[in-house]
Amino acid sequence: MLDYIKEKWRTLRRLDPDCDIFFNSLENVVACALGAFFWLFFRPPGSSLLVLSPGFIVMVGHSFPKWNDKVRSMAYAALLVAVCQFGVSVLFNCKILILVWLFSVTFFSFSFKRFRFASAMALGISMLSLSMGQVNDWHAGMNRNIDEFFAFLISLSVLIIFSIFTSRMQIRLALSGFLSELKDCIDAHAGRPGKFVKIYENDEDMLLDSRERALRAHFLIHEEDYLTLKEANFVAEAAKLQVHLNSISRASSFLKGLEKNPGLLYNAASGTDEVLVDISARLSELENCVRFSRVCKSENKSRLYERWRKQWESEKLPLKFKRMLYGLQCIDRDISALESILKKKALK
Amino acid sequence: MTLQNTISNNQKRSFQEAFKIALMVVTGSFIYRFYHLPNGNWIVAAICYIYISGSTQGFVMKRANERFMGTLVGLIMAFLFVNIFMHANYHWAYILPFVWFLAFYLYLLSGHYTIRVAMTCMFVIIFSSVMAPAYKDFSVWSALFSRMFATVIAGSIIVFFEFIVFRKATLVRDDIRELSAKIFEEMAFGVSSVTRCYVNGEEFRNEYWTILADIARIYGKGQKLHASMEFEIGHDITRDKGYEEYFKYLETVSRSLRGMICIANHNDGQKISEADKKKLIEASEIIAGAFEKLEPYASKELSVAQKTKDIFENADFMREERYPECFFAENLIEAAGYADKLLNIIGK
Repeated sequence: MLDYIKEKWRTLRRLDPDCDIFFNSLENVVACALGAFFWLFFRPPGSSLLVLSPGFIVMVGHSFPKWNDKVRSMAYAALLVAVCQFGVSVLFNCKILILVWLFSVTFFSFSFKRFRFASAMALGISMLSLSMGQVNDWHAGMNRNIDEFFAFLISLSVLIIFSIFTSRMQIRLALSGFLSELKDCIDAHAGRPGKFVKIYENDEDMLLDSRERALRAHFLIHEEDYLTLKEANFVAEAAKLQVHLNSISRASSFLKGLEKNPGLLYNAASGTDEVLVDISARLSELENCVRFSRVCKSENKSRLYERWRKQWESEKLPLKFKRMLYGLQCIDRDISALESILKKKALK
Repeated sequence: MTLQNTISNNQKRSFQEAFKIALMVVTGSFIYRFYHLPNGNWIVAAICYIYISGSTQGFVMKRANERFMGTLVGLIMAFLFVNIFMHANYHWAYILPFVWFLAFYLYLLSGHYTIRVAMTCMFVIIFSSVMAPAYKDFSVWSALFSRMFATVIAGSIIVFFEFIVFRKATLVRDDIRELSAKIFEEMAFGVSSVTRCYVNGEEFRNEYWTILADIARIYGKGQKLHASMEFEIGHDITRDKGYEEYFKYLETVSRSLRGMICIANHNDGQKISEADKKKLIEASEIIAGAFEKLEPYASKELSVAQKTKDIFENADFMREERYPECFFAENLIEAAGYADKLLNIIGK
C-alpha cells in the first residue's frame, strides 16, 4: 500500500514538479473567493460576475512571465470586460446596434495575437452579461465598470502575494525535479530502471522528460520577473546551478544506446558500473540538498574517477564506447562543479 | 508559397481570423436574441472559450469536440449531485470552491479540456441552484437541457464558419511553416556560433543555452499543432507520415546540437590545429547556410551531408579518432544528414 501511495505521489510530482499547476489553481480559487466575498458583503446589484472575473483575470496574468506584461494584460482584460459590458448594458434594447457593438469589440480584440488569450477570456465573461436583461441600463453599465476595477485589484493583489511567498519554493522544486529526472534518465541508460523509475521506450523519450524539466527551470530562472531583492539574489544563486544541470542533460545524450546492452561497456571498461552507481548516488544527494536547502556533504571520490579514466583512456576501445565514456566524464565534471557550489553555501 | 511569404501574410491572417470569430459571435448573439433561447448567452461564451488557445482550425475543432463531451459529462454530474446530495442537505454547496479548484488543477495536469468544461459546468449548475431565489421556479432539468442545446448550437456555428469563411487562413500547415522558419533560423545560428566558440576555446556564453530552450519550446508547439491536424476539416491522412518524419528529424538535429554544445562547454583549452579549425568552421557554415536558405538542393548538387563528409574525409582527428574533436565532427555530420532529409520534405 505504501509503495502504491509512493508511486502515485511520484507520478503527481512528475506531472507538476514545481507545484506551478497547484499554485496557479489555488490563486484562481482565492481570487474568485475574494470576489465572491466582496459581492456577498457589499451586495452591488447585478454584479454576480464578480465571482468569476478575478479568477479569469488571474489566469491571464499568469500566462506572462514579466510583471510589465502581467499587469498590462490583466488591465487589458479587465478593461475589455468593462467596455464590452458597458456597451451591452447601454445598447441592450437596440436589436441591431448591439450586434454591431459585439462585432466591433470581438474583431478589435481578436486582431491582436499577443493578447488573444486575454481577449477570449474577457469576451467569454462579458457575454454572460447578455443574459442579465432585467438589469441593463447606463447605471448597470457603470456599476459593472466599477466591479471590473475591483476584480483587477483583487487579482493583482493575489498574484503579487503568491509570487512573493511561493517563487523561491517553486525554483527549488523545479531544480530538484530536474535533478531527479536526470538521475532517472542516467539510471535508465545504465540499465537499472529501479522500482519507481519510468521505463523509457526509446532514447527520445528520455530526452523529452528532461527537456520539459529544463524548460521549466529555464523559464523560472531566466524569464520570470521577481519583485523583491531577496528573490533576485536567490535566482542568481539558482542560475549557477542551472547552467550545470543543463550541461548534464546535454551530456546524457552521449549515453545513447547504452541501455540496450550495458554489460558490453562494463566488460570493456572496468569500473564503469561502479562509476554509474556513484553518479546516481551523488545526484540523489544533490537533489536532497536543493530541495531541503542544505549544504552538500558528499564524499570526495576523485581517486575512483581518476583510476577509471586512466584505465579506459589507455585501452583500445571502439569509438562508440569512447563516446559514452566521454559523456560520463562530462557528467562527473558537472556534478563536481555542482557539489563545490553547494558545499560552500546552501540554496536558501 | 515560401516560408518568408507565410510570415509576411501573418497580419492578414490575424485579421481574417478575427473577422471570422466576430462573425460567429454576432451569429450566436443573433440566434440567442431572435429566438429568445434560455441560457443562450452560453452560445457566445462557448465560442469565445473555444478560441482561447488559438484559432488554428485543428485546435478549434478538437476543442469544440471536447467542449461538447465536457458539457454533457458536467451536466450529468451536476444533475446527480444536486438531486442526490444537495436535495437532502444544502451544506453540500460548500464544495463549490473545491470544484472550481479541481476544474483548473485537473485540466492543467492532464491537458484535457473536457475535464475543465465538465467541472465548470458542474460549478455553474450548482451555483445557479444555490443562488436561485426561493420565489423563482428553478428547474435543474431545464437548465441542463438549455445549456446542452446552446453548446450544440455553438458547435454548429463553429463548424459552419470554419468550413465557409477564410477556410485556408487557419490551416495548421501555415502555423507549422511559421514555426519551422523560426526553428531553422535558431538552428543555423546555433550550429555556426557553437562551432566558433568551440574552435576558438571561448568562454561559453549564457545566451547559447537559451537557443536550445527556444528550439525545444517551438518544437513542442509544433508537435501540438501536428497532433491537432487530424481534427481539420478534410484532413489528408496520407501526409501524416511526412509530418511525423519531419518532427523526428527536427528532434535529431536538435540532439546533435545538444551534443556539440556539451563538447564546447567541456573544452579544457585543448589546442585544435588551424587546419582542423578551418574544416570544422567550413562544415558548420555549410549546414547553417542550408538551414538559412531553406531550399532543397538541386539534384545535380551534392547533398549537405556529402559536402560535410568530404570536408572531414582527410582530417587528422578523424583518422586518429582523436576525441572530442571527432565527436564534434560526428555531430556535425549527423546534423547535416538530417538537414538534407528535412530540406527534402520541405521541397515536397
